[in-house]
Amino acid sequence: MTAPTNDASVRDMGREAPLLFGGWEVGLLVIMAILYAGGLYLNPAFFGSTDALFSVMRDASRYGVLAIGMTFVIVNRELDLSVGSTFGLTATIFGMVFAPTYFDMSVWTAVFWCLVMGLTIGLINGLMVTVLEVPAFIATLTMLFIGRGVILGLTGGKNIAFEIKAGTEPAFFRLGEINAFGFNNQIILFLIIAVIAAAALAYTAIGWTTYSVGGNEQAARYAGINTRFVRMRSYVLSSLCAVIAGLMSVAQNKDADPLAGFGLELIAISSVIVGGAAIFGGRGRVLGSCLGAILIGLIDKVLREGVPTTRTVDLGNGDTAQVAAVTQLPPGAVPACLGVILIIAVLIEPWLVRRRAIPRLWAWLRGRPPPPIPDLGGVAISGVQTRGANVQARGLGKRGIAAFFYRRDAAAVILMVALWLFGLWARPDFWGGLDNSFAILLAFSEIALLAVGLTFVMANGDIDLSVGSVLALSGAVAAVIMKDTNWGPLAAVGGGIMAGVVAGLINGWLTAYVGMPAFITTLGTFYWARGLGSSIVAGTQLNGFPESFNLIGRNLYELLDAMGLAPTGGLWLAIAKAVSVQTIFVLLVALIAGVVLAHTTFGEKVYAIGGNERAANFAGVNTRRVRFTSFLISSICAACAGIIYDAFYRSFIPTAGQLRELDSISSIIIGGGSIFGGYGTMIGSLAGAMVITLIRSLLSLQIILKDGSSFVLPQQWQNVFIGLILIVAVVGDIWLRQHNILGQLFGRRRVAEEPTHVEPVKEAKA
Amino acid sequence: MMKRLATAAIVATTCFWGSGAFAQSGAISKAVGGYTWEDAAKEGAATKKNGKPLTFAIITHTAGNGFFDPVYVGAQVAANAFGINLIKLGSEAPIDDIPREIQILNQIVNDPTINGVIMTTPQVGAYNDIVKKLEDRGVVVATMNSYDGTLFDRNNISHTGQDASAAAIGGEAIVKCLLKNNVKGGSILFPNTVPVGNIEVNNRVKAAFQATVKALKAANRLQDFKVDAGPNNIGVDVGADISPAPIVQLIESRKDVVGLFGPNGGVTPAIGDAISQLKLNNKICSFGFDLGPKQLEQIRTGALQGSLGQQPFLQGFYPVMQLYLQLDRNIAAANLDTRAQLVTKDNVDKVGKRFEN
Repeated sequence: MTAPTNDASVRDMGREAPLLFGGWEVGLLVIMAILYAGGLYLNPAFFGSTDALFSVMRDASRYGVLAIGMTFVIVNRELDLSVGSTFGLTATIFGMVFAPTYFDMSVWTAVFWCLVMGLTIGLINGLMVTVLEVPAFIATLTMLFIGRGVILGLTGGKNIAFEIKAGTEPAFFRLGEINAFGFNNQIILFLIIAVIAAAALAYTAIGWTTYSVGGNEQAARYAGINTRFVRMRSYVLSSLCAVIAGLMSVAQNKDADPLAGFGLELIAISSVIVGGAAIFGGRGRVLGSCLGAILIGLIDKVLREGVPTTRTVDLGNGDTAQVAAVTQLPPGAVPACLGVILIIAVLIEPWLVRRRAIPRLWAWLRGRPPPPIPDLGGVAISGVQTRGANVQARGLGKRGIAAFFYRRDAAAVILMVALWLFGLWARPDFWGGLDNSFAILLAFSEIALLAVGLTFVMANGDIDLSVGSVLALSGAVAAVIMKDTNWGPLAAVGGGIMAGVVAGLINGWLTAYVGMPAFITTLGTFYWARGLGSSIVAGTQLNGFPESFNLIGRNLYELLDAMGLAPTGGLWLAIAKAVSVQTIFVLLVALIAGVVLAHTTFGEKVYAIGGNERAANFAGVNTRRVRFTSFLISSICAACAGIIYDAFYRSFIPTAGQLRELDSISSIIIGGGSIFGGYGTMIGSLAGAMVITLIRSLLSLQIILKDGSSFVLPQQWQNVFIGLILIVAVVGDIWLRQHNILGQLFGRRRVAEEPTHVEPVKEAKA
Repeated sequence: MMKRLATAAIVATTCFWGSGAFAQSGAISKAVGGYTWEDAAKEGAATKKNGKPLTFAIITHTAGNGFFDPVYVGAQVAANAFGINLIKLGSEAPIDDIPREIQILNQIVNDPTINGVIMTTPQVGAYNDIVKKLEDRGVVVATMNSYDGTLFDRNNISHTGQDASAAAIGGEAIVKCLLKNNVKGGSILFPNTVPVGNIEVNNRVKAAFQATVKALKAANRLQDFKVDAGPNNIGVDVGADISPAPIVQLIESRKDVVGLFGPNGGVTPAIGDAISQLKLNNKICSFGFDLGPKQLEQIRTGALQGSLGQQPFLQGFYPVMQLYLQLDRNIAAANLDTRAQLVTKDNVDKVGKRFEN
């Protein structure tokens, strides 16, 4: 490997985003100071002492260590969604090895196995991304699914406690304790790791090669850098940091919680982005990421503060009492604020830095001509990776079943049929019946509706992480309109859809017109939409909606009955009682969306942009408008899902739609969609959604044995199954279809068997 | 006079023993109606179709956090006792996952081998269609744990669980603890995973909060304490994910926390963990709801002063028995309030020895 030259420009590659008084980090420090001042005003007793500082630093230590590892990955133009589950797996493995109720081994044996586990996950992630060419998002999303599934499978969801035994191993568990100086030892470990990582990234070949690969992988390869090794190293470092953060958590909590690390991947990514790293790689600093993590910890602390107040409490029987308490922001305010800050932090770059807003303002104040705005690059910043065209080319001219096998969605359709046939084999007495078939469709409809809208976004080459949160926001708005106003169900439906439209407008505008990466825009919406939804219902469950509204979520018979059109007998009655209104709605929406995507110019534009946005732009396609519209479609579908949620469950809870974004993204990928854009069909997305639904249905199916006894498959492992199917679908697509390794293998054999046709050619060339 | 009294005493004693001897003489070997108890105790001939055992399914909204384990144990004990094939199902998530529970229920509804269904109903209104369909198919239904008062055909469906008002015992226990320890003042907090929106859990917070205020008012000490259950009296929000970190933060930032109440099996052990991390064992009057191995351990170490068990074993055992009796003898649905069992350091070693908690 040849290291790049040690000149100043290379050293400064991580500092390409000067802000405010000379650096991004200074800006972060200013924001932190303002927040801290707010905390000081609200709670001087706490924020006026070192307790608050130590408390923020202790809680930020774990985020910080995760963010340090993530910095290497993001600077490398990659992403690691598996760090949260690696964090949780660390707690689980440690607990199982160490706890007296399991293997009861020494603490260092437990640490050793955690490190082995982290190293293995890092290597698997790296191999999947670099050798198997699986997109980083999918490879690490799969690892997230599998990791969470393994945690649930191993623990059965139960906490593994070892507090008493922890007292016998002070050398390790002191890490989670307060030291003689009054602060937690985790802070020291965090600072040590931060200093080492910052030095490595800024002053050693590790850092230079990382920046080089992230900045321009092809150029780095031509410069003699082993880019594959560099990318794998980043994943290993990220996983090891997740293990260390997990061990810090274990040392403090002295137990292994199956929920440990849940959602931490998004906190880590947010820390790095808020810390000034570019999601497109090539820029980012450990110091910034650490400050980003501390800022997130500080936001959490300050927003939970309040001022003293007095509440009147109804004690029943007309008795009341005045009670001293502290005011609070509504539930969901913290994630909502985090989402907004995330978006603002990323907006600073294109608007303040790249457009040179501050120098222009300064010039204007001095009455001088403003410096010119440099070429912003526009579409060039998108990672264009058109894949799979050769597969479709091979399928040209094929007909019937042969043509079907060349479709990208064929695997999902085949898998869907296979799973359904397995169910039929296992329970022929009811699985294929009308009622059960429509019950499966009912379970499928929510994921399917989200996947329909998301297909447009992903075919465009974008991503939408906010669909589950937009579902919750729209459901909350509709529920509040029905409960707190007398505007009626129609207004509730309109209000819910408007909430989705607003979210879609924000996502679309920021991504298509402002130039923010879709991942960040929708991650921001993921936080603010759920937080806002939770806030407007004050974290409570709302129910008691008008039955005329609830008809949206009932079966067709009830709707027809309300309209005086109910069938009275025969097959129609059976169908009307089995099929749900929402299933019909989803299939109708999917049909329209399928036609739009496959047979209209808008659909062709979507594919064209996903295949190569710049080419589409040159061809005269208004790429911004198409991308904007796709986000709008996605959010409207999510809003419809939110309204259906209210009607189907006859109530709303703030956790509605949680994790549905992962289900719907997985559906599209399983269905042949590409994370790079340019591909994805409605049939494929629906088949993918059905595959996930069928896996869940089969894992709760009672299988009856010949002797009359029955059993149910192990449900805890469902995420592992989904993760494995996801990775098999993607790896199969890349290698069996795109690289056609089987075709190449058989082609080589054919060539080997017919040497007379080959050798003269070689000789002629020679 | 003494002679007469002695004679009367002898006669009375003779009559007493005589009547006892008469009662034990075998009159209960046959019913007044003429049938024997053995015949009457036999299972109905039509209860099991074709001699196959009855199949019941028990479905919960979170099978992944261990709280429902004693429920499944109780259900299995009853199933074994009555010769029932029991299918134990539930959302595999460690947090409430009602859509998954509904998906499982919608599949169970169509399974022709199922004779009885026991379910939790944490989301009001969401289970009506399922219950209607089950009843149309002749499947008997019982609910347990979380109560939906608006459930379809509620009056004919048994419910086994605990009224949220039982949480008042926890609120009263906090005040007793504070007064006993002669605490002069401070904050009493009711942390809750508010965004989860579990109506049963929110009601527990309300009940415990009101009981605390009432008890402090009765002791004329309300003015000395801040009693904080959030703006809607459903808890101080600690986020949707259960972890000790936000509770540690609450204790640290409020600085004067003297009492804590956790409303469920997630928040209560998190409170214990937070107290333990801050080395405040036995220094805060901390009570909670639900029992599990972890809470029992925390009560022993003083991280928790006590916790209210809702007797989950009964929440599994009784519905199975109830459904069996409904099918076999057409016994009408009966509700069972499992009430609260306050477990403290004094009685912690007596509970949960055979998987009942």
